[in-house]
Amino acid sequence: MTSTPNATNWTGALRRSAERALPPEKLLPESQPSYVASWIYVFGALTMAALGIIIATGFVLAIMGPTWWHHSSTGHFINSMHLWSVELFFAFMVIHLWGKFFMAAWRGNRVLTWASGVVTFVISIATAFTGYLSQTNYDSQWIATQAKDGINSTGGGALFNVLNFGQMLMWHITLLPLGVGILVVLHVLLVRHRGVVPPFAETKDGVK
Amino acid sequence: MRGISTAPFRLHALVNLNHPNHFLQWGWLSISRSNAIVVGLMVVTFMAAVAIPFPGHGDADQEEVR
Repeated sequence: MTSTPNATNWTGALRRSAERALPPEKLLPESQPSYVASWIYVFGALTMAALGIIIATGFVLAIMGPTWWHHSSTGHFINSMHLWSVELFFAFMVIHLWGKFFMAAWRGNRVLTWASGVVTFVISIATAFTGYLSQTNYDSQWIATQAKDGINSTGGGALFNVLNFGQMLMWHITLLPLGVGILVVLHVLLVRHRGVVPPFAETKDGVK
Repeated sequence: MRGISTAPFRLHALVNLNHPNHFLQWGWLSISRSNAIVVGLMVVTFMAAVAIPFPGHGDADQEEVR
């Protein structure tokens, strides 16, 4: 069997479309525009660095289990790293959000980039919330019993039962991290596709 | 069953957190002191990130940075 360059099957069409949207030099650039040399542009990368530590420590916690993270020094350390990298993840993400909001980062056909970031933020909150419910300590029990009334008042308690530890753990370690991971990849690909948004001064001559 | 002691954690804590939180109140707004400190630090970090020049940026006439 031979393949022809102009084949019209869906895999070929998808490949050509991906190559048009993200040629290799755009996907993995060696340089960035000069306006990117500002501390405010660093916080997106810092957010992803924190996410990397969250995922790595989360893998260790999943492998070793609650008894280990409650009763061993190394377990306490990894558990604390998981918590504090989440705290830093949110702090960096919110500063990133402030920076992008004040430079109106949705300019220049970047609405999807902005929207994917906003949705990632919302799903991250749900991921962190189910994480607090999965600690297996008095804190998680307290949060669950307080949250159940709020969730029940929305009518969602039957589907999303915060008192159901197994369900909350599954949401925390499978569905929600998968959602965050996919959206972060999409967000970064959109940044690569549209380019990093320039500051307002750069748009005087119509540059977007 | 052995009780869980918080002593080892308190020994190593920079700030003693083993007490009820203090809350700040402005009319309808109620926020814990610790959360207010974190939000304040984030605002300061944001302003510093906007104001402090990035190393090497001032002398760069080039269009792109590596």
